[in-house]
Amino acid sequence: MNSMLSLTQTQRMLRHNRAAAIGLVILILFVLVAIFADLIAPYPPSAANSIDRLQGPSTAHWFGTDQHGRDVLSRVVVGTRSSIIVGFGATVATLLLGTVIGLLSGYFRVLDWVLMRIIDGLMAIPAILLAIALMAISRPSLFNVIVAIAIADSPRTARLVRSIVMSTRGALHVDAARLAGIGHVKIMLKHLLPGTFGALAVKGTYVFASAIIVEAVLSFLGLGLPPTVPSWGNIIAEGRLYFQIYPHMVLFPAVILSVLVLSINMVGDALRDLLDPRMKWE
Amino acid sequence: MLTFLLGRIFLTIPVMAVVSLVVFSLLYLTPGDPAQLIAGEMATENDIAALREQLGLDQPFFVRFATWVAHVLSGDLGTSIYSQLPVGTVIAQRLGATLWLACATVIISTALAVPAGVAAAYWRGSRMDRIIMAMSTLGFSVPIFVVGYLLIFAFSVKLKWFPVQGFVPPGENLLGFVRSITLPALSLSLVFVALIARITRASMIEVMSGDFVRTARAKGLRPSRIVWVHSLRNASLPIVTTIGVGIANLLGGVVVTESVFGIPGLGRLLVESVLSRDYPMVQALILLFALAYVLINLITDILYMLIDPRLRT
Repeated sequence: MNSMLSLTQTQRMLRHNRAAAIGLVILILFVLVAIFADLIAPYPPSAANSIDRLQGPSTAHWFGTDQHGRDVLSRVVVGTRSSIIVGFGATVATLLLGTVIGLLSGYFRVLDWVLMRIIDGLMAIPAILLAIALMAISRPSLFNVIVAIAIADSPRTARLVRSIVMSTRGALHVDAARLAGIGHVKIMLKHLLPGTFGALAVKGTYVFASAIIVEAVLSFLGLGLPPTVPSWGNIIAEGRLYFQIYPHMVLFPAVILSVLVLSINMVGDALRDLLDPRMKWE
Repeated sequence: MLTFLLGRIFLTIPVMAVVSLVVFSLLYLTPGDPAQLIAGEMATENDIAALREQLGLDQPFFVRFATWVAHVLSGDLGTSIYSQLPVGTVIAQRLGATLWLACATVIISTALAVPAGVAAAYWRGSRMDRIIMAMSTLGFSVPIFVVGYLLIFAFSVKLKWFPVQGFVPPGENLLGFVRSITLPALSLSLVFVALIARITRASMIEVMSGDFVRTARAKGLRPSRIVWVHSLRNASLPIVTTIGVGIANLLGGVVVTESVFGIPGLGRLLVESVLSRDYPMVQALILLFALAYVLINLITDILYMLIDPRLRT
């Protein structure tokens, strides 16, 4: 029984790593597409052509054209850039914000009570709704979308960092550092922060995936990026009006979005198994 | 048990206090003058000044916050800028569709996920297990609106089994209701099916390796009885919690699903209100969603206690 179990475990790990490798390759491809979008896109993304309106997929237009005759493939390629920038920006901002709050809260007991009540309150509002509410009071722009997602997502990161800090705060090397007269800031950065890196790397991949989805959803609802910026959410939002007769405008960006999110999640699952066995499902 | 219950209920108060502070700050931080917005384009300087005083907008932050909370607690959520109707009235009109969608989603996700998770646990390591777990990873990754459009494309546009858009209340036409709610509920449930199936699988695997399962098997009980009665009951604690967490997180997905399928519920109302800058409406809706989230978590905790007699001391 025992040897059988370890055999299936090994098989599972191998399969997981293969999935992670595939995920990583796809993710790198998406990043490359985002960087070289202008070179890859066969047409300028905003070039309207009233003769070629609303065409299905063809050799000239692989993903067809939209209601203005713009090439959907080119718009999807350039839209990759919006997704990657928002995903990356929001992840960095979320991790920074969450880590600072989590460190302070986990280290200073006085601050903890106040900060955790605020975090609890923010977490009671589903992240996507909080992001929608924040977009309601700001103009649609790349920067505002990143800020909205970061504010909505960071409470969960803060909780994670806090719990790790609280479990390492009492460790001997931390006590020793404190007795040696090392300042609070240095203790937090040099002795407590490194312990959170593994969990943060795992968290970061999931934040990256969810930020990309939230941006697409916000743009789809008309609350994200301005319509002039090609983004997958915007393309889908425009395409939905013609969906019943010309589904290609919605289906291509929708499937591409899912592929990107799936590849990030595959990398995230492997990272989780590798760095943070506590979070493992099995 | 009573002390635990009271303590747990008491814990929701600071959470809701912070939520209301956040929700109120949203309006406070809004660029532009709410009085101008409410009075409309045609208002004169004097009208706006009068309205500002009438609404108490010239008062300091905490006075305004306290007044607002007092109004909300007495059931007065304000007036919608867009429709000029009381916010409570508009919400009452839209509440039904969202509740039906949520109920259908919970039923569909539980009905699909629990058997799938049990099957994956029972035939652990088999091809069946691998397929179910791969589907679950897929379920986590495909955003709700993508699922929604794929379902509409396959079942409404191509097969014409279901209407593309719209909602029929069950009181009006039961068959029409079932037809209009199936696809939205199915697309909303996908992520919860993924989540609940995983937890069910993990929890069942743990329970089925227990001594009492071996005893039951040695006693000659039918495997189906061991799985469904003995094991599932003991594995149900984390499953119930996950369903509770699922319902709470479903609130966010409702916004997207209702927009994709044109269901006139609270999620659609929120998007419409944000787009028309109807701030009293946005505030009330966020507050309501947060209250629902807090209450569902409270109910989950209480259920948890009822299922597990060990916690009932």
